[in-house]
Amino acid sequence: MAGLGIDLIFRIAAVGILVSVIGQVLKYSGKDEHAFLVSLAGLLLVLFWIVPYISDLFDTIRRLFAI
Amino acid sequence: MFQVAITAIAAALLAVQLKQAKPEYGVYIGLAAGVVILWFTTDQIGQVLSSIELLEQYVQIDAVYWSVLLKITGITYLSEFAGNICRDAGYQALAGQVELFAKILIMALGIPVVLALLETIESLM
Repeated sequence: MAGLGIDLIFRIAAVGILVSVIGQVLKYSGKDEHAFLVSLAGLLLVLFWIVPYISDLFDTIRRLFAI
Repeated sequence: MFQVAITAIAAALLAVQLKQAKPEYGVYIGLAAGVVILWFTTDQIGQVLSSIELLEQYVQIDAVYWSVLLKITGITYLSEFAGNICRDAGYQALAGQVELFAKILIMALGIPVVLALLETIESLM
């Protein structure tokens, strides 16, 4: 599958860095709720990337081991 | 093998780096790296399993026992992965639950084989 491998990890790390930076900026400017929302959005984005790979992986394992 | 090693090292370093700012991203990167490496291992498992099927022709064992063996390895494989991810995230009890469920599932799968064994022993008596 395309996009699987190291670049998936680098993308997640980039999202993590971005979210922490934006969160800090928002926190210092007094908007704590927005900081929380941004970190939530980061979580959703990361999950959006990982979940298809996890489901494909578990399907392959189920097919391989005939579970 | 190189790709797996590089992925693991890069993921570990990035996770340590991100742990200070955002602890949860350490877990995400661990999960992503686990998924990627498991993906590579499933390719190898395919070859191992096909060679096991060749082995099956020489060794006259009932196909049912092979499938039970395969199921058990698959279950341990998945429960190990899920349990360790939960342990990474800091939830030991959850990991224990997953592995307990896997053990009970394996026992449930193994009992028919034991019964078949006992029946054959009894028939020999």
